[in-house]
Amino acid sequence: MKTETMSRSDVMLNVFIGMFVMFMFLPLMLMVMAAFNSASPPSVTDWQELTLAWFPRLAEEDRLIGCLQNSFRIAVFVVPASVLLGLSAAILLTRLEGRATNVLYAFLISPMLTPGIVLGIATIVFWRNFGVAADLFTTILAQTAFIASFPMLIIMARLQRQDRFQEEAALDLGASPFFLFRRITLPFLLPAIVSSAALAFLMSFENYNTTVFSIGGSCTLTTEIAAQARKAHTPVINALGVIFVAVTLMFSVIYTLRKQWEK
Amino acid sequence: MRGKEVVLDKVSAKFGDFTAVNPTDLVVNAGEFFSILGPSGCGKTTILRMISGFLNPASGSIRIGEDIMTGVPANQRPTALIFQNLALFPYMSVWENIAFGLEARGVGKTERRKRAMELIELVALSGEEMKKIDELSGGQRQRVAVARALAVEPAVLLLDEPLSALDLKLRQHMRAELRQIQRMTGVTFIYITHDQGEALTMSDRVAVMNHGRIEQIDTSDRIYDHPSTPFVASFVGENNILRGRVTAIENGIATLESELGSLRGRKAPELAVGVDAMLFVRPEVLKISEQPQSDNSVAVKPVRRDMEGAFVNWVLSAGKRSLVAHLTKAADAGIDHDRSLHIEFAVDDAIVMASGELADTGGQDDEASD
Amino acid sequence: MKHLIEIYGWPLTTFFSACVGLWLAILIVAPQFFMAELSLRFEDRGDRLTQTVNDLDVLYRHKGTMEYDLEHGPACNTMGMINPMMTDDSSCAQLGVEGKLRLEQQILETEDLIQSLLVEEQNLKEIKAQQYPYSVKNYTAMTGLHAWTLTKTVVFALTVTLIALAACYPVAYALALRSGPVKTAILFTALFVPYAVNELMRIYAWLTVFDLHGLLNTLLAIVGFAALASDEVIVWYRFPGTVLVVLVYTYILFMVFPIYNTMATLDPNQVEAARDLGAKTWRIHWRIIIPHTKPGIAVGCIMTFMLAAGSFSVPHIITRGLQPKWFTQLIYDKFFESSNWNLGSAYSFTLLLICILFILAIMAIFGVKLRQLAR
Ligand SMILES: Nc1ncnc2c1ncn2[C@@H]1O[C@H](COP(=O)(O)OP(=O)(O)O)[C@@H](O)[C@H]1O
Ligand SMILES: [Mg+2]
Repeated sequence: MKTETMSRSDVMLNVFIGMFVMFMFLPLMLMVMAAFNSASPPSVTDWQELTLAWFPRLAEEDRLIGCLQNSFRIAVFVVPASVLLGLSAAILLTRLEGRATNVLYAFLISPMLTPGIVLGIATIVFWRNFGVAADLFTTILAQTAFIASFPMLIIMARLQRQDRFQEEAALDLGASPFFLFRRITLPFLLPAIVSSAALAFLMSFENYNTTVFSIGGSCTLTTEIAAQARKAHTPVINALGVIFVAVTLMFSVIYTLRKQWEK
Repeated sequence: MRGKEVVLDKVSAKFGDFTAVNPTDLVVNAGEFFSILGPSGCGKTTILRMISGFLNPASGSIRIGEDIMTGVPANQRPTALIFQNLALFPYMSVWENIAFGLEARGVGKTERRKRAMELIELVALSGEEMKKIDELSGGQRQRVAVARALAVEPAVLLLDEPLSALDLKLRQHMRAELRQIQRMTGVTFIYITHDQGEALTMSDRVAVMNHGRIEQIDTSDRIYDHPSTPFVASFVGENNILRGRVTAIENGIATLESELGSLRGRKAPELAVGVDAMLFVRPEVLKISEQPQSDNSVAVKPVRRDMEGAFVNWVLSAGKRSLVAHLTKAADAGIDHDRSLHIEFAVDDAIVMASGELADTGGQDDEASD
Repeated sequence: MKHLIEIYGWPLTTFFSACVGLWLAILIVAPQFFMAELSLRFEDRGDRLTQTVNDLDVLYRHKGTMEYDLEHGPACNTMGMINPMMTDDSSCAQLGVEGKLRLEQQILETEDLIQSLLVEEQNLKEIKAQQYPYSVKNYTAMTGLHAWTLTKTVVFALTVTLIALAACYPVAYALALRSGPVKTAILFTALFVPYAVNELMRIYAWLTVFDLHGLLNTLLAIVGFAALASDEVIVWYRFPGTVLVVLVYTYILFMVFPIYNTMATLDPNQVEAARDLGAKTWRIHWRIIIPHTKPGIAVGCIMTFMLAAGSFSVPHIITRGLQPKWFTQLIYDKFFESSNWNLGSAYSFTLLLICILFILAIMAIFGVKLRQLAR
C-alpha cells in the first residue's frame, strides 16, 4: 500500500516536472523556430518558407554591432574590477573577526538585493554632481557595484575551505607577504577567480535593468534588443536569440559533462 | 648548520581572559633535542607558536642565540615549524615544496633544485621528487615536511606532534630517523608531544607541562626516577600511589602514615611533617614474598597474574586499594599463589611528596574506591 | 586586522582595504545617499522662480527674433516661425521705415521687461537659497494613479513570488532528493539553459505567443473564436495578466536554484530515517526538509520579489504601450522624459525601501540571518 501511494506521488511529481520544463522551453523553442521562417514579423503559425536568411542579416545591423562592441567595452572593465573588489572583500571578511565584519558583509551584499534600476539611477544621480553625464562610464560603475558581490561570495566560499596553516607555513619558511600571496593564496583561489570572472562577464554582458538606467544616450546589446523588440520587430532578433540559446546550451552541456566526469 | 640556544624569559600567553601559558622560564641549549611533554590542551602548541612568531607573548621575551625576538615577524626568525597537520602545499610537487623556502629567498632554480635533491636524499625520498603531495603515504609526507623545514637552514626546528597521524610501527621508525637527522644536522629541535614514549626515547631533555605551567625540566632518566611533582610522577610511566600523612622526617627519609600502615620513602624537597602526602612507588621495584625482609611492606592478596612476555604483571589488593607489580620471570617463579603475600620495596625506591594534582591516566589510577 | 597584516603585510592589506573602501563608499553608499538626498529636494514646477525663468526664456527668444527681422526682413508665418507678437498679416512684405521704427521700439520695451525680470529672478533666487532645502513633498506628492501603480507592482511581485515558490519547491525537491545522478544532471541542464539565456531573449520569446498573429490567437482561430484574416483577434498585450505570466517565466528560476542548493545539502538518510519511523510524506516535508531548506527559500523569495518588483524589461517589452505604465516605467519617465530627477529619485528610493522591508520580513518569517542567506 505504502509503496503504491508513493509511486503515485512520484508519478505526479514527474508529470509536474515535465510540464515545468515544457513551460520553460516552449517560448524559447517558438522563438528559435520563428528565426527559420521567412515570415516577418516573426511567426511560427504563419509558416511561409524555411530560410537561413535572417542570420546573415545580423551582420548588416550596424547599430546592433556598435552596441555589441559597447557591451564588450563595458565588460572589459567590469570583469577585472569586480573580481578585484570581490577578492579584496572576501579576504577582509574571512580574515577579520568581530561584529564589524557582519555589518561590512551586509553592506557588501546589499547591491545584490537591490533592484537593478535603483543602482543605475543612484549612480547617474551621484555622478551628475561632478558633471559626469550618463554613459558607458556610469554603466561600468553601476554594474560593478553589484556584480562584485558575486565574486566575493564565490571566493569567500573557497577561502573558508583553505587550511589556515598553509599561509603560516609559507611565512614560517621565510616568504614575504607578496610572495606568499602570489605563490600560495592565488593558486589556491585560482579556480574560484576563474569562475567568478566568467560569471561576472555573463552578468555584465546580459545586464539590462541597471544598464538601461545608467547608459544615457549610448547603447549595449541588451538595450538595443529591448529597443527593437518594443518597436516593430523582425526575425533578425530571433536569429540573435538562436545564437544566444545555442551558446548557452553548449556551455551548459560542457559544464555538466565536466562535472560528471570529475566525479 | 648549527643550532642556536632558545631562551624564554617569563613568557606567558593569553587568549582574552584565559591564560594558556603561565609565565615560564626555559632554556633550550644549542643543538639539543628538547621535548615538551604534556596532555593535550596544556599549552604546548601555544609555546611553539610564540617561539615561531605567530603569537605575541602577553609578557616576557624570547631570545634565540644572541637576538631578542620581540617584534621580529615569523618570516624573519631563524626557526622552522613543522605543523601538526604538516601544511604541505598541495599544488606543488615534492621538490617544489622542499625548495619553497629557498624560492622565497630568491635562490635560482638550478641551485634550488640541487639543494632540494640533497635534502630528498637526507630524508630518504629519492625518486619521489616529482610526485604531488596527495600521491604520498603518511610517512613520506612526514619526511617532506622535515626536509622542507630543514631547507631554510633553521637554527631551531620546532615540531608540533609531527608523528601523531602515523600508525604505531611507522611512528617508532620515524622516531629513530628524526633523532638521527637531529644529530647529523646539529639543529636545535624543540619537539612537542603528548606521547611520553616519544619524549623519553628521543630527547636530551624533557619538559613536562600541565595547565600552562612547566612542572619539571630534566633528562628522561631523571624525569622517570626523580619526578618533582605528583603530576609528573603520575603522568610519566606507571606508579602505585598511596595517600597518607607525614609523621616523621629523618635523614631525607619520610615516614607516611597511610591507609595501609606506616611506609617510608625518599623525602621530596620542601616536604614537612604533618602535611597530607602521597607515596609513589613504581611497579617494577616492588618485591613479592611470603615473608617480608623489612617493615616497609604491605600484606596483599593476589587478584590477577598477567604474563606480558619480558615480565609478569601482578595485580594485587590491599584493603580497598589495588596495587600493580612487574616481576622478572625469575622473581615470579618462586611465588605461591595460595599463601598470603606481602609486597615490599626499598626505602630509596619510593618517593614521598606533598599531595597535589595527578594526571588523568584514564582509569589506570590505583584508587579503586575514590 | 592584526592577523591580516601579519599574513599579507601592510602594503597588501592597505590595498585590499582601499579596494573595499572604494567599492563601499563610491559605488554603494555615496550613490544611494545622493539619490536619497535628491529625493528630499522638492522642485516646485509652479513656483514664481520657475515661471520667471520660463518668462525670461520666452522674452529672450522673442527679442532675438525681432532683431533678426530688423536685419533681414521679417520671416513668414508659412516658414513655421509663428510669432504671437506680430499680429500684422503683412509681415511677409518688405519692412517700411515705419515698420522698422516700430520694431526698434518693441525691442527696447522687451529689453526693459527683461531687465526687470532679471532683478526679480535674482531676488527669488536669494530667497530660495535661504529656504531650508529639504522636504518630503516628493514622497507625499505621489498622486492617486501613481500610488495605485505602486500598489499594483507590489501585489504583482508578491504574486510572482508565491507562484514561483509553489512551483519551484517540488522541482527543487525532485532535483535534489528524488532523482539519481544522471536524471539530476539532465534536469539541471534543462533548467540551467533557460536560466542562463539572456533575460531579454526570454522575454522577447513571448512575443511569438502573444502577437496578434501569434500562437494564442492562432489556436483560438483554429477553434473558431478568432479570425486572423479579418484581424478579429484578441489583443493580449492589453491584459495585465501577460505581464504576470512573463514575470513568472523570467524570474522563476531564481527561486529554483537557491532552494535546490540548500536542499541538496540535506542528508538523504535523514529522510529515509524519518520514513522508516513511519512519518507521512507531508510530515517529512514539514519537519525535516523545509526547516533545512529555509535559508534557500528565503533567498529565493527575496531574489524573485526584488527582480519582479524592479523589473523594467518585462513591462517595457510586453505592454507595448497598451497598458497603463508600470512603476519602473514611471521612474524611467521621470528621469528620461519629464526630466524630474528629484521625483524620480523619490520613486526609486521608495522601491528600494519596499525591497528592504520585504527582506526584513522574510528574515523574520524564516528566522534566518543575513550570513546564512549567501550560501
Ligand atoms: N586561538 C585560540 N583562542 C582561544 N583559546 C585558544 C586558542 N588556541 C588555543 N587555545 C586554548 O589554549 C589552551 C592551550 O592550547 P594549545 O597550546 O593548543 O594546547 P596543546 O598543548 O594541546 O597544543 C587550550 O585550552 C586551548 O583551548
Ligand atoms: Mg597542540
